[in-house]
Amino acid sequence: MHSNQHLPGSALPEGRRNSPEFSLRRKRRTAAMLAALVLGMVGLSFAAVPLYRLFCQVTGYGGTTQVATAAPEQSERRITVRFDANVAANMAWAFSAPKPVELALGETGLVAYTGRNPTNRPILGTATYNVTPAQAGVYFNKIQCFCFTEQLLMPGEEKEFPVSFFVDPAIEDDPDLASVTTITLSYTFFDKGAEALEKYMASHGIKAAELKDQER
Amino acid sequence: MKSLIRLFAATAAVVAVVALAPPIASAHSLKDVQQDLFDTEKYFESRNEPAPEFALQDADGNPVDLEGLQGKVVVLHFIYAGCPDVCPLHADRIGEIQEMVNETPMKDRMQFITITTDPERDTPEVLEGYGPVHGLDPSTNWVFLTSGPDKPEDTTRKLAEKFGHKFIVTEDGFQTHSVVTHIIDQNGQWVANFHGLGFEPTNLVLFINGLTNANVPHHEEPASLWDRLRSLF
Repeated sequence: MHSNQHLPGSALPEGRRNSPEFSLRRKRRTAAMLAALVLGMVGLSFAAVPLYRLFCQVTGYGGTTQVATAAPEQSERRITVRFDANVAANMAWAFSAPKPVELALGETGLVAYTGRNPTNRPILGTATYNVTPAQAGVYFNKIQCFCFTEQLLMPGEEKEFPVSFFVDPAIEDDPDLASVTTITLSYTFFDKGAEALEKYMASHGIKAAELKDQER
Repeated sequence: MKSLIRLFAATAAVVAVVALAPPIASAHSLKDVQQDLFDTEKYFESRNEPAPEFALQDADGNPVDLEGLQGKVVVLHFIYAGCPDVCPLHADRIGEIQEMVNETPMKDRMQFITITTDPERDTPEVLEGYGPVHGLDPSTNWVFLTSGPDKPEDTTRKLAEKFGHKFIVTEDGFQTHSVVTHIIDQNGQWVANFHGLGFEPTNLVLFINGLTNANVPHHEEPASLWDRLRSLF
């Protein structure tokens, strides 16, 4: 429908601009642009949530002030965070804690626990966590952790479990915790058992045959 | 124009990668645990009401009441020692959970309570002998309670009824009742039931963990635009 219109700025001779091939190419180009636009819009709609989170984390808007305001307000008081790794009696994993870190209040720390399945069968685990002293838990903010989520380790597999955290500088205003110089973050991994493992495998599309292959 | 399309396509690709990336924060608040249990644990029932008050006593006659348990997460269930079928299994299950919890720092932050629904036959000697057989450790945070001699014989059954149980007492002294594990939070709020024995023990432990950490402020996700719009009305 545009084939008879004059295109300003076009270097093509009049004849080629009106040719059916040129018209087809323009139509294709328009179609491609529209398709890219649609794809882009769909992508943006999916990305809205993580982008919003990212924006909030950077700016501190939208209820994420714990992270955003803590960092710039780092205090001179430093605190040592120790990490404790435990496995329940029914759990065969080897689970080890990272070394203690010393950081300023409000400073974000990132560490990683390590879990290894030394057995010849897959094991599904889940961890609980606790902060000691318990009162300090109020000021211990975890940005990322692996607690409560099911974790599968295949036979012989080793995996890192990152934890990122900071200690709220508001701890300085708590007279009960004035003498606290060390906070311990403790994790305990439990074996979820055969039934939960089966369910997990089914819901994640892991076939028993694949597991057996890995066991060999 | 082509470069514009390429630029747009590249942006779309980056956006798609961001959109498909796993969320930054993993589940780690009580709300998250509750949601997970809603999705995966069919024997979990969320409740939110003050727990029925009780004032009972242990085998040694020491009084135990709900008010005195403030600040602790309570796992409570009803059985009677003469119960032949499901009660021993229920006690075994609570023993298993106590063992799991006591391997963590949660040990000092909670109390396991078994209440007899047959105070007449469950004498202090019976109460004392019951726990160890079922893996329940009376030396730490488990206690077997009864109504005591001064209270009506049906006191604990009446209490169990307030917790939603129904009793049918047969002629030969057996009681037919439901199997439910009740969870009470640190503020005396009855927050959950785990029904029967089919629930996954780690799920109950996770829920307790969520409660023991409930006062810890977490990195909460921002409310969605829809939620915020809805909250305006």
